[in-house]
Amino acid sequence: MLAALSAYQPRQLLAQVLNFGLILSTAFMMWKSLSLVTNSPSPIVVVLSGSMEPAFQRGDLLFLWNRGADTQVGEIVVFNIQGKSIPIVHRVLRKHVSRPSAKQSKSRAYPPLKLLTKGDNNAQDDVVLYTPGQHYIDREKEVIGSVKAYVPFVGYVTILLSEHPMVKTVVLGIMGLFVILQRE
Amino acid sequence: MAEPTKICPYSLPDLKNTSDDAVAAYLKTKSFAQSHTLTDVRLSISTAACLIAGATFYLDYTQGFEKTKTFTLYACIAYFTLNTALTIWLYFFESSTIYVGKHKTAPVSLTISSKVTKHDPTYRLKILQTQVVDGKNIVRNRDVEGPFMDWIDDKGFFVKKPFESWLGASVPWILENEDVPKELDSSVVTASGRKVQEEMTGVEVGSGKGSVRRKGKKV
Repeated sequence: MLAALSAYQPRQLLAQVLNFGLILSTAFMMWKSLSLVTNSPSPIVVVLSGSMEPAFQRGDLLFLWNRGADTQVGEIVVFNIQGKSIPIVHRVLRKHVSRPSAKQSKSRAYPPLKLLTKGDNNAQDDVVLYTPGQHYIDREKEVIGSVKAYVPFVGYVTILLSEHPMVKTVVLGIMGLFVILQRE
Repeated sequence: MAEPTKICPYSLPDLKNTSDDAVAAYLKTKSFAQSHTLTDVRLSISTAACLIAGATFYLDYTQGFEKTKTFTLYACIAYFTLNTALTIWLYFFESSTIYVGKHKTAPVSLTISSKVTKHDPTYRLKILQTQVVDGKNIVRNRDVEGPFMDWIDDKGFFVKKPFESWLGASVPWILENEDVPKELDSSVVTASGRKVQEEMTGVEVGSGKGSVRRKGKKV
């Protein structure tokens, strides 16, 4: 295999590496473009827990939209609690409209919102999940989008990949090798 | 490739790539200097695209989505513009060209493109030979083909000699003993200073016995 690599001319080798780079970067830039369109740092997420059953199962793929911040009670939102790395998908139970400051009312179409959320399958609301002392989440700072569409089950691959990190390493490694060693 | 690299003799892409490499290697020995402009343009476009994506990834990773939004927007526009440019370049300019080169002493340059048809182990070359005669560009187009099995043995090793004699016989000029063909004097073809592509129409097609000759119009 290494012999095959060393037989390449420098330009060919560079071309192979760049081909691989273009595949990765095209995927990444498409993801970033989708982020910009939806205004969400993570426009597609996978449901990791069963807390929203029967609406969403583990492994469902959710498509988020984060434009128009006037969230209604009953909407399902995805939010990041500060200091916790995993986003949570739960339904809005209650919403509080704060009075916007003079500056805010000028620059924004919607007043600042505070939301209380709960998982459909959970016995209690989410106050226990929030940072201690926090009783609601901030629509603007913590919510990364509300769910607009979903595809059942296809996200399960990523659960496999994240729960078994070796799988990810091996798959990525094999893909990379193939692209570099094959010319067509 | 001159090195004894083993390929699978049943894989057309392998056969084609090996032969493509061999064309350049052979012409190098015949004192042709290869021009890498086509490849270099492609490589620089891809490099620029990868760098933009890399920068976006780095900034996004270190500073987060909200802070880098504006940069990401411009980066996305630039990236996809470059990607489109690359596609156009590959499709319209580089396409199947495998070699562009100029003779080191004689005023002859070659542009060679190669082609294989699916499931047909025949190597097809289109060789455009541009010669300067009396200050005028004369373009000669040759379409040659040969079975891969003539120069790649059953184990998948490239054999230099039959390949070089095949290619050399196809383009006598490469063997450095071809006179300027009589039928290609300046009364027949083209004025000087125009691009190879523009002169392809109306130029002699094929070579040797039974080839089709069309009289080119004077431009």
